[in-house]
Order: sequence, then C-alpha cells, then structure tokens
Amino acid sequence: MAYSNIQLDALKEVMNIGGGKAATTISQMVGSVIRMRVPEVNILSYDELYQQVMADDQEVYAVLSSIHGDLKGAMLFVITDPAAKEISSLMMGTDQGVTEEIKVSAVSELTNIVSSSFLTSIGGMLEKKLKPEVPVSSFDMFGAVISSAYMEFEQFGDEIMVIRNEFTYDSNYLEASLYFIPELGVIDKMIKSLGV
Amino acid sequence: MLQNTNETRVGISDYKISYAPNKIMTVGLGSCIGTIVYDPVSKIGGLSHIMLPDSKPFEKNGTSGLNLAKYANTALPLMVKELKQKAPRAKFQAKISGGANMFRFKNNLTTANIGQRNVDAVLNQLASLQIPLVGQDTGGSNGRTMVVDLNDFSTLIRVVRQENRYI
Repeated sequence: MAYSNIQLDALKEVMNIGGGKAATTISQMVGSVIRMRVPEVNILSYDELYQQVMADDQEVYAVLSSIHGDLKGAMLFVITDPAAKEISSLMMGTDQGVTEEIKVSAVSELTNIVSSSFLTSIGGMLEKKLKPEVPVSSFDMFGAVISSAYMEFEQFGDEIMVIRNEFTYDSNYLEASLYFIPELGVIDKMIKSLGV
Repeated sequence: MLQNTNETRVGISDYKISYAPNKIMTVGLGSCIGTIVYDPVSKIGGLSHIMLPDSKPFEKNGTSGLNLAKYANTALPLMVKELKQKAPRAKFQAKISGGANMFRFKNNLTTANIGQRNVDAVLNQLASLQIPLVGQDTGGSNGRTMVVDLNDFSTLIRVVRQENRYI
C-alpha cells in the first residue's frame, strides 16, 4: 500500500463528490439539517484509529452493507446511541416513542439511502456499477465492529486505509460516520480507473 | 493498606505478560481471539490478542518482517516461550474468548468464518504446546472484552447488553 500524494488526492476527490451526493440525499430526507463533512482518507494503525477517531470500547450501532458490483467491499455506518436517537427523531419528525426497534430501522434505512447515493456517485466517476446489498446491523463495541469489518474484506494489515465521512447536525459534530471499506486490491483498481 | 494494582491493556495483534495482583485485559474482540495463559503458583499470566489463524499465507521471506503477535501459529509459541523463561517451573493453563462472526457473513469464501478458523487454530496451538484449556467463551455474533484477574485467574467476559459472565 504505497500511493503517491496525487493518487491519494484523486481518491479523496472521488470520495468528496460521493460524500457530497450522499449529504444532499440525507439533507433532503431529514430537512437539510444534517450534513457530511469533507471525507478523510488516512492510512492508520488500529491504535491510531482508536485514539484519533473513536475508542475501541465505545458502544455503537453499526450497519454494514456489502457492495454489489464491479468493486468489492462494504459501506459501514457507525453511530452512537445518543446520535441514533437524534437522527431517528429527525427522520420521524418527533422524539416521542423512539424505541429500540425504530432506532435500528431508522439507522438501517439511512445507511441504505446514503450508501446507495454514495456508490451511484462514485460508480459513475469510475464507470463501474455499484449498489449496496441489504444492510446487516448490530450494536457492539467499535473495536470489534471495525476490525471484523476490515478483515471480512481481506484487509489484514496492521494499518488500514480509513475512508470516512463525518456527519454534522446544525453545524454540531454528530457522532456518526460512514466508512467506505474496499476489499484488498480495490483501491488499485480505482486509481487505475481514474488514470492517475 | 491497599495494594497498588494496575490493569495492563493488550492491543490488537499484540501480547503482554503481567503478574498478580495486576489485571490484564483486551477490548473489542470480534473475530479475533484473546488467549490467557496462566500459572496458578507463580500467578504469572500472558494475554494474547491474535487476528488471524496462520502466518504462512503472508510469509514471503519466512517470518521476517511479520508481526508475529498477530497470528495464532506464531504468537502463542512465542508468548509461552517468554512465560517459561520468566517462570521455568510453571504449569500453565489457558482460557480463550472471541471468535465471533460479527455480521453473520455467509458468502465471502476467502474469509469464510474467520472467527471459527481462529478458534480452531488457537486450540491446535494450545494442544501442541500441551497447555490444558480450562475455560472457553467463543463464537456467536457479539464482540467481547476480556479482563483477567491474575490473583485467581477469574476471567470476566463483557458483552454489550448482556450480563457480565466469568469463565
């Protein structure tokens, strides 16, 4: 895994456009209060990830959709319980009766919509057909979730490529992120498609 | 007077050794495996957090350049060797936890049930090192945190939204 700065910038730009598209979709859905920040593309060790992004023992809702199409990998949406409550209330238009079931289905639905628009957008730029599969959700420790998700796509390195879009709500930081997890070799294919 | 105890934390693809009255722990085991190897007399214990069953597919120039603490086949012999140097007359016992299939994946053949393959690999290593297994909490689809009290080898398994249990 050694990419030039130009290649990483090109990759970031693709993720940026994909993320922007997904942000528009989510804003329309919940009334334009939720936005996504410029995505970060970083190569981090697990220790760095747990120190800089989220602690390994933080409990989170995690929704994972495998990517169906010409590039393998997954979209993983990670959100804390208070943020899930907030998003569910926004999606429902009320904070009354936000049960566990509603939270799980709201977060899954959100993942599906955001992942679809993200993948459609980057697929267009890369001339690949990409779609999310039916999402699988769990409530678990961030460390267990993220390491297992990367390993499921043959990312066995001590360092992983973290491609992450962070969400904000009314310009406040919302503890919710969308990860793009490429299967081994997929980044090479993407860079090749971009011709950089 | 209270004894000064500390809690040693073991990260992913690492192992550490500590003694009573300390605790030793690892957080967020998904498909990874935590293995505690302990001697009840000297109260020394080593905790390993492996990620993969076998180093062989990753060996280009033998094991040079590899993180040996990452794979079941290399981490456990290395940790046990170090434990034996520190406690030559020890009679070790082991407990393991982890090996979940977090997202209940079915269709990825190359990574098919890595959790179960990790469990099998660790059990094989313990058998060939002749260390009896006295506790096991593996499989399922939940992440685990493992906290071992080196005073008495009691091993807490913490799972999100489940009651704490000991093995």
